[in-house]
Amino acid sequence: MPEYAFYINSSACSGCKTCQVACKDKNDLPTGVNWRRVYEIEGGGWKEENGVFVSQPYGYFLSLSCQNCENPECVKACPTTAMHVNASGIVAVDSELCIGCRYCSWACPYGAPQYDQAKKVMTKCNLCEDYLSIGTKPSCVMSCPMRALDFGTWEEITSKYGTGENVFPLPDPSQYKPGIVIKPHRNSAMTRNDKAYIAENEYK
Amino acid sequence: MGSDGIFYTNRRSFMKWSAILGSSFLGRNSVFKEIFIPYNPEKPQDNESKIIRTGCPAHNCGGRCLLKVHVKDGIITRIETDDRPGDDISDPQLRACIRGRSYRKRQYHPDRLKYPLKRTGKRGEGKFERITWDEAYEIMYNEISRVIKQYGNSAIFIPYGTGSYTNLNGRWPAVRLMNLLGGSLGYYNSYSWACTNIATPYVYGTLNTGNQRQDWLNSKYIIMWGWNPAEMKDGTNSEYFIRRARENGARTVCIDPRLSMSAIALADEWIPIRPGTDAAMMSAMAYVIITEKLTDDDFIRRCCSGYDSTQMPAGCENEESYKDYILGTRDGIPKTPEWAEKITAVPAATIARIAREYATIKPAVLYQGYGMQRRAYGEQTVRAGAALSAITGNIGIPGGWASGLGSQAGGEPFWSVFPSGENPVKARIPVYLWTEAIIRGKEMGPADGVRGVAKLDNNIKLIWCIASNILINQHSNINRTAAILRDENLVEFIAVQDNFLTPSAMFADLVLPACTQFETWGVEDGWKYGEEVFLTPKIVEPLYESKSDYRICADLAKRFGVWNEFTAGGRDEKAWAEWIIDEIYRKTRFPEMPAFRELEKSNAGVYVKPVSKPVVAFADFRKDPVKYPLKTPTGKIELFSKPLHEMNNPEIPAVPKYIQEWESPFGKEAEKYPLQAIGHHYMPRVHSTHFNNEWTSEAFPQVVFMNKADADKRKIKNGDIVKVFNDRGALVARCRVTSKIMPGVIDIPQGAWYMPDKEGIDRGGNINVLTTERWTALAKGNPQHTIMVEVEKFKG
Amino acid sequence: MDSDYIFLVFFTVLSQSAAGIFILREVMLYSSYNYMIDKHLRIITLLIAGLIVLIAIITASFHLGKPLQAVHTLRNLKSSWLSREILFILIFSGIILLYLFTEFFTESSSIKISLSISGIIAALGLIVCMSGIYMLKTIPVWNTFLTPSSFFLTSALTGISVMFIIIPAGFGKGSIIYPVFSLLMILSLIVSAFLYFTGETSSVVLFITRLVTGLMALLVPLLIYSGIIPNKMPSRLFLLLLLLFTEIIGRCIFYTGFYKSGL
Repeated sequence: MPEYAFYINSSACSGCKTCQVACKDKNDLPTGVNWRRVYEIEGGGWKEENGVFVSQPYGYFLSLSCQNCENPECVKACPTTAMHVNASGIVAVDSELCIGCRYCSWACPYGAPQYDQAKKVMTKCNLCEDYLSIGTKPSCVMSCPMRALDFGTWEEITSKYGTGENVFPLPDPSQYKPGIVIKPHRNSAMTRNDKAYIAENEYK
Repeated sequence: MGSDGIFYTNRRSFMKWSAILGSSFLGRNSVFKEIFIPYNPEKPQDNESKIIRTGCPAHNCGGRCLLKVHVKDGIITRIETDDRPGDDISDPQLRACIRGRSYRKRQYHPDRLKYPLKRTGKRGEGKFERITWDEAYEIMYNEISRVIKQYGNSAIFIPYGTGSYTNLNGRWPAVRLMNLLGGSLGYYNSYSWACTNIATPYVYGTLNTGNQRQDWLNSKYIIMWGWNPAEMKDGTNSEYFIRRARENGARTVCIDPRLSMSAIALADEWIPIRPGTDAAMMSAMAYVIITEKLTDDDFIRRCCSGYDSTQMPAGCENEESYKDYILGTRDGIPKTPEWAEKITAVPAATIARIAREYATIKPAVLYQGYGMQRRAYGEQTVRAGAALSAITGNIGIPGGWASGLGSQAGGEPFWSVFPSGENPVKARIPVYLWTEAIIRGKEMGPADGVRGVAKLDNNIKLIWCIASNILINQHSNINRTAAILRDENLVEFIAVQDNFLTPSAMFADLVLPACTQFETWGVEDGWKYGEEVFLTPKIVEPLYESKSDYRICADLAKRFGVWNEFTAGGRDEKAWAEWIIDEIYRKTRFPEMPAFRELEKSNAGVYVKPVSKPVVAFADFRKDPVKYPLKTPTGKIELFSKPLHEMNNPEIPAVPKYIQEWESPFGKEAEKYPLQAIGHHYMPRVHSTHFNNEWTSEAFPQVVFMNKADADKRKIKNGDIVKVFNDRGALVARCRVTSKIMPGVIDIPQGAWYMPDKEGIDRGGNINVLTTERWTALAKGNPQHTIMVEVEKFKG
Repeated sequence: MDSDYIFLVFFTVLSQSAAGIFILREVMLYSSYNYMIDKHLRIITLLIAGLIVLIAIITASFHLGKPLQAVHTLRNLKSSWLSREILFILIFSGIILLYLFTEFFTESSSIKISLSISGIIAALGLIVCMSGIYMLKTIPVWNTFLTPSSFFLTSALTGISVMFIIIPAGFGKGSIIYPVFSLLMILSLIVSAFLYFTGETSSVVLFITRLVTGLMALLVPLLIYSGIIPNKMPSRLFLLLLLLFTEIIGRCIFYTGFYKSGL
């Protein structure tokens, strides 16, 4: 079982990206480095019949940072052991060891490791470890205007919210055992029969 | 720009950062190249990090949130938000959104205005030189004195400006100063709510038609009609209240051309509708409700006027009633769902179903967004929505909603209480018609909506624009406005006072650097909703030579010899903040709130009065309409308005009607410009504020949203650069091809900064190069969402 | 995909070339072709392989954020293919260096055989580890046998074409090596085609270039084989350059096909 878990209520997420920027502010992240990212998933289409629209598109949002997987692929991939599980059980980067090869970002299925062009090293969500140590939840969780995020130990979160569901575009969690509990948006059911896509990825 | 890890966490790196980034100015390097020097404040007083609680800098944001600002060595190092324990629905945490959380990137933006600037090139060219404050004041003094002497006070105009709402920063100190000097041309109404501000009282006699928001939790059915609270922030927590209402069992429907953030996060169902046709769908809903006898007859009989021929006001007995219009008794067109389907592109069956649901699942809310009243016939939409609330009797009950503007009953926030004094100039123009007052002010009278005088005695000759981007960026038809402002024979002097060299400031003769709200004292309260007052203390010193708007006006008052009157005997910003809290708020809205000194000492940042029993608008009226009449001519809800009838203008019908817009997909103009363009309020900014904020722009870049069907027709791919144009102008922006907007409609989020290239094409993506200066019939308001355009792939 | 993947293109093509040259050299030395490689050539082939590895390593370091810290890359042999790759490239380089040393200073065949065998193992190990790096669950286009196929084919093709150059006598017209080369080239093109069509962002220009140059590189040996063009240095040099170009383009297709499943 993973050590910690984020709870993400995708059904209540408005995609405002406040969590993303709260994280940037807390951690002084430059443009281009986002330890937390809000993904905009989009799908469906339009069919016009006699001037009215019968079929409809859909969308939902997923806010993700690092899931602190029980089997962290990034840690396995890292040649230098810079990417490691620290004493608190948090997947962390030792920037003294990191050589900036970015291999971890290939291996991670969640896009968590973020390369800092200026520092020349990988960086990533540290769960606001300094906040955890004083009993405060991570900055992103505290920021959500919709109260759609939560954080705790795996036991705390799963006893409160269950184990949630896996939704597009996340990979099969069984191989990674991510510390994430998702309450899906009703629209994520649409992705089972329809090719959905991540809007920003299409755009960039 | 790679601002990277060298953040301003310590003095040295901050200076380094300033020096590195100082030269990058949105491609306008010339302005600052010579005059830039790194910020060099006095020695830091302390090395300890402090946390100061304050209100999120109040621009014209619908939210008012609490910030926890970390300050070290006189520099803001982190911004967090409300973490008060409890987070109870009666007093939920006032959590800031992306705009507030990214504020450091605005506060410490390298392009902050640093010194007073004087124009050197042609007006609008953007060439300036640095001058001293003394020189700047001298110019202001001379110009104001000259214009007063030469033309009179009514030639001076302090435009609509919503960039700052903390009383001491913003336009109000300047209004106070001008009032001491003989006044200036006044205005009324706003760009935000022009039509609803005017139309709502014709129905209800008041703007306070809303219940306190906690009451939404009592609702069983909520229609969010063109309403996107999750993105535009219609009051902090409005979207959260809707979430809680749904958890309480309310069904929510969003009617909007866009699959908006709110449609995704808050709605059970989304119904796309062709922009500008809302009144048609509303009328068809009324048709279903009336013909299927789902009306609240008792409520109509007791509380409404003009519903049918039995309750027409005296003298109008034979006029067309609301019911007549809906059933088509007079015009021969029953407003059936089938009729509306062709106009709205909403299936007739859906219209009928929503009508039945709204009329039967009670209590129900029909909440009207503001975008749909910023249109050619916005007044009709406002009144048509209110009529639905009325005929279903969803008024005056918990969980209901009267529609219309919906300011909260039981008293709305004050916004600005800084005493600007009485204006000796009695003339007031509709806010949207200020360019008219430049070119033909002396011809303007009541027909143009002028109030207070029979005719203006001046054209506008001097503009003093404070915390406002209305001069160029936010007013319609930028190319027209720019031409008017460029002509120095029209407006002879323009001063702009702001934090940045905005597109409006580019047209100034004199630019005065104002400090941000973090750099001076202030008080702010809610926007439309909320029961709170924020004390916004001075957290850091003003950067460079910037000063608070109040300080600038006080300095000027000294030159004019009215310093003592202006400062009320020497009050500084803090003394005014104290006066506002102790003498205004504690003596009116919140007698129980702590005094200024206590509030300051507690570092609470905010006083909140919890709402455990939300006030319901019109509750008394509903119980006893005779004893508690409305302030309408009949004392009732006016579905037929006699005053409007007497205007005898087909564009101002006495009952709410659907009228085809002057630019419409059904008109001839659609042959040349087949796409409707709307400009929604975008998440990353408040109007044009934060457009230059790199964190918000990274999260939400300026794009043109376009449906795939429309894009395919034009061979446009996602991410292509496109040109959007009509006869008034053209803009260039990246295109986001998406299924989240209906075909035939594009969306250019409003508020992008106007940045014309050599050909005059706007490279910033500002929708106002396409909008029209034409005003709406009744409100004389801005119809900025009613435009037709064409889009093509941009070559060049 | 980051734009500096171009460093990885050169690194992989070059290091695979070196491995190919080395393996081919050993195969020839211990087969009936050993008459072709005299003492002089034994040193030259090693020098060339060594030089190429050196250039490859330097090129790869440009891809790193902090190349000076590259020493840390050996810390995670336990689970990181990248770590293992670097270990193998170091072993491979070390063996080449030792081998060179022995070519100058000793005639001991047992030492040479053991160096030869361990060198071949290191070279093969290098390509295997390199494949391991790219065979990630998160990158479906690479997570197939196409990745090792592509790498081994590059090795073989570059190895052979370098040998064409450095052996002055060369392989005679009608030598079996020419059709073998062309066959490998066909396979290499097929692998590229698969990578192109399964990848997401590759450009059609790259693919057409790859096809045209690949087909040319396929034809030249056949023409030499059938004696239509002479087995002379200019045509052999042309073949090498053509091959390197087409393989580099092929590798660009490999990298630009990059897309991640998930996020």
